[in-house]
Amino acid sequence: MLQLYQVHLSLGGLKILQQLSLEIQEGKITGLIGPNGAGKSTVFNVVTGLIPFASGSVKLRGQEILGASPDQVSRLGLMRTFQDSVILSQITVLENLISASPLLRDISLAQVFFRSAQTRQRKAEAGAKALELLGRVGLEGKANSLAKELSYGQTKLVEILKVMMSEAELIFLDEPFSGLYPEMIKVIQSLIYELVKKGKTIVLVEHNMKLIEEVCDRVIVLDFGEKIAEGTFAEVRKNKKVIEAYLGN
Amino acid sequence: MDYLLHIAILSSIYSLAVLGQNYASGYTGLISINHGAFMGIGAYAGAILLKWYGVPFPVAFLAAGAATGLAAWLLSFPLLKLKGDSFVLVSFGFSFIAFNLFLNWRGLTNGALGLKAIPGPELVNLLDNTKIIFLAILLALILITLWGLHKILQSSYGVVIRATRENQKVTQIAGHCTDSYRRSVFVLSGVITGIAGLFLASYISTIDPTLFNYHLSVLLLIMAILGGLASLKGSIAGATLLIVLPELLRFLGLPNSILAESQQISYGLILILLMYYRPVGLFGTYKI
Repeated sequence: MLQLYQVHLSLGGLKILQQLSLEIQEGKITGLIGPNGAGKSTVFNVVTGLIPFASGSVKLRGQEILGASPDQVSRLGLMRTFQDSVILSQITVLENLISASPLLRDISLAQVFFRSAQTRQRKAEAGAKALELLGRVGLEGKANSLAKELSYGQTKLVEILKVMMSEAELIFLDEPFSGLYPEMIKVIQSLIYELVKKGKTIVLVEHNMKLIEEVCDRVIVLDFGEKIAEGTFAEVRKNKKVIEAYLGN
Repeated sequence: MDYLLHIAILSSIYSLAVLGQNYASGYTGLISINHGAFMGIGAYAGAILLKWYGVPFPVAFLAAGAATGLAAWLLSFPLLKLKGDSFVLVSFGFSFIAFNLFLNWRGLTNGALGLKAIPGPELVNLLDNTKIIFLAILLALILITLWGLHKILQSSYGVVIRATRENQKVTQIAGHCTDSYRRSVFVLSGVITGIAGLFLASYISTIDPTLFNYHLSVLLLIMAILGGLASLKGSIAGATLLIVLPELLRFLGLPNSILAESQQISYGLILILLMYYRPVGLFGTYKI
C-alpha cells in the first residue's frame, strides 16, 4: 500500500529521518512506535506532504507522492489525525465533518450561483452522512454546536469521524487514545476496527503499549529516525534494540 | 436633509467596501491592509472610462470590478505564499505602490491634480433628486452583495472557506486546495471594494491619489474589526459608525484647524478601546 524508500530528512544539521525504508501492508493496522523524538509524527508529516523537503521516495499504491501537496496526497486516498487535536473550533461540529467529505471538493464559486441545486445536494448528502456518524457515537445533539464547545475526548472522537467521512483508504492516526478515559478509548477502538473491516489500512502512533499490542497486526519501531525493528508486537518486544531504546525491561 | 443623505451615501459606499474587506479578512483570515488601494484602482479605472471615454456607467462599473479583480489576482500570487505578519506587511506595501502609481502615472491618472468632474450613473443624472437615486442604487447594490456573500458562505464552498480560516493545514489534509479558495476570495473581495471605489469617485466627482493612500486601507480594516470580523452586518455597522461618529464631532463646535485631527484621533481611540473591551468587535466572532 505504502512504501518509504531511503527517506532522509535533516533540519538545521539535525538528522530527523535517516535513510528510512518501510512498508505498510494493505488492510492491516500497523503500529509505529518509538521514544519521543524518534520521528514517528515526522513520518506522517513527510508522507502527507506537510514537510515537502525530504529526500528519497514515498510511493502510495505505486505512485510517487514525495513532494506532493497535502491536498494532492489526500485525493489519492490518505487521511490523518494530529497528535494535538486540531478541531476547527469556530465552525460547527457538523461542518467539521462535512469539510472532510470528498463531496465538497472542487466546488467553484460559479457553481455556487449557477449550479446551486447540485452543490446544495452535495452538501446535503455529506450532511446526512455526518449526522449518521455523529448519531452512532451519541454526538448528534452537538451537530450544530461550535466545535470549541466539545470536550477534549469529543474532539478526538470527531477527528476519527472526519477520517470516516473522508473515505480514505490509508489512514494515519497520531496518538488517537492519548489523554482519554477508558470508555472513550473503547469507542475509538471500535471505530478503528470498523474501518479495518471496511478494508482500510491504518497506521497508528501510540505510546500505550497495551493498546498497541491489542490493536496492531504489525509494529514498526523507530529510534532517532531509523527503523530498528519490525514484526508482531510479541516479536519486537523481545528485540534487544527495542528494549534498550524504548520498552525497557 | 441633504446633509443626512450625504452621510447615508458615504456610509453606504464604505459599507460596500468593508463588505469586501471583511469577506477576505473576516471569513478567510486574510488580514490585508491594501483594500484602500483596491478602492483607488476601481475609482480610477471607472473614472477614466467615464470621463475620458464617455462610456455608460454600467460599462465603467464592470471595468472597475474587472481592473480591481485583475490587480487582486496578480497580488494574490506573492501574497498568498506568506503568512501572518509577512502577509500583513506585504499587503501594506502594495498600498504604497498603488499610491505611487496613482500619483506618478500622470498620463493616466493626471497625477497629484487628480480627475475632476467625473460623471455619475446616467439614471441619477436623468432624475431630479440625484442623491436619493444615488443612495437607492447603492442600497440595492449592498443588498445584492449581502445576498451573494450570504449564499457563498452558507454553501459547501463557504464551509471550505471558513474551514481554511480555522486551519489551512487541516483543510488541505481533507483534500482541499486552500490556495485556490483563498485566491478566489481575495479576488472577489477586491472586486467588491473596487466597485465601492467607483461609486466614491462618481459621487464626490473629484478624486486624487491622497484619497487612496494607506490611511484608507487602515480605515477599512478598522471598520471591519469594529463591526466584527466574519460578520456581514458588522461590516455595515462598522463602516456606518466610523462615518457617523466623526461627523458628530462637528457639532462640538471645534475649530476647523483641529477638527480633521480630532477625527483621526477618534479612529485611534475607538480602536484602542475596542481592543481592550471588545476585541471581537460589535458583531464578530473572531479576534484579530
